Amino acid sequence: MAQTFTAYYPSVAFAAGKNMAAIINQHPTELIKIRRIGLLNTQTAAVTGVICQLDVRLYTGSVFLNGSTAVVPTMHDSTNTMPLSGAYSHAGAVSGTLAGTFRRVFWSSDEPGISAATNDEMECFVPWNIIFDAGYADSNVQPLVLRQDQMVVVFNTVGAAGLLDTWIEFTKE
Amino acid sequence: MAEDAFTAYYVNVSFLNAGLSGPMAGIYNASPNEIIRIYRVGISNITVLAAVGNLVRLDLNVYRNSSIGDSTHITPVKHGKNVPDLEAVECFWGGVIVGNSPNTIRRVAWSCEEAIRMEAGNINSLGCLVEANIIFEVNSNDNNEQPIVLRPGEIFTILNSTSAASYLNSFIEFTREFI
Repeated sequence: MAQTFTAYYPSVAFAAGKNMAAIINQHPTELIKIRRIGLLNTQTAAVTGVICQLDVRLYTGSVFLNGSTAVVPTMHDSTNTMPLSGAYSHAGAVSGTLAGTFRRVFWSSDEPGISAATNDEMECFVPWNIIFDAGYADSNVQPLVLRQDQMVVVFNTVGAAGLLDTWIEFTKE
Repeated sequence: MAEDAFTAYYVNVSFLNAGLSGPMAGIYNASPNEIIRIYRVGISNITVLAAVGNLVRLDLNVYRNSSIGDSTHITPVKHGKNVPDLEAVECFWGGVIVGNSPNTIRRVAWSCEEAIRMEAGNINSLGCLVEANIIFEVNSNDNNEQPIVLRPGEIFTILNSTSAASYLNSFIEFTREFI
């Protein structure tokens, strides 16, 4: 069993062309393996939402996030040790070479209602909003492996209203 | 099966009684001899009486080096009748956590209005579906991933962080290993 962590990015404001959640690995030998990524709508204040388009992207090369806001991942076991050269943040200027897009999803950034059943409310259910899940019962499929100078980003391409929660579950090996 | 399994079920916990920023469900490992591993957490809407519901936000929090003050304890169900009792592990709701700031692994919005009409297709009714309302589950597709591990002096909670109305049912499925 590998040391496991959850990075949680709460209430990140949508903006066009924005890093909503990212992890960078800059260690020469240690691997960060992205296992699952989920989105959630936890807004309780009224907002005039829009449709946003989110990409799960892999960047390589000279990756860094200038001026971003850091989050601290939760260790699933307090005896774990944090990755030696991992960085976890949202916002900032994304630098590096876009190496690929793993997922693209539409997201309604309106707040959920108490007794409604629209897209906004469906975004409150954890199992329905996992947008990347390595393995899916097949151990032959690799997770998304971050080697040195690689970065995964949940990137909002269009849409600028409301807030997003994102979680990224990863292991260190 | 190597470890003893339990389900803690928290029935009709009042948002009002748990209080704003109060635990709706929690496990405190106060034992020096046991390790708790949390595999699955779910919530359910079984409110049948009319309620003027709110949209609440529930946080799944982990606390290190902490303890719980006065709270209401429940007895978890053993998955096998030969499973020894928990020694000093408390399943609780309500009370105030004393110690370190929490680490949050999930937050979910939850409508606490009653789900009464069979024909009603809304978020309240969807709150009745077990599979749809599992808010934490160790990745069963991947044996490489750890569950949430509670060592001595560590706490896991579903925390009510925004408002107070109606009731919540929760379950936490966990195992115990003796150190």
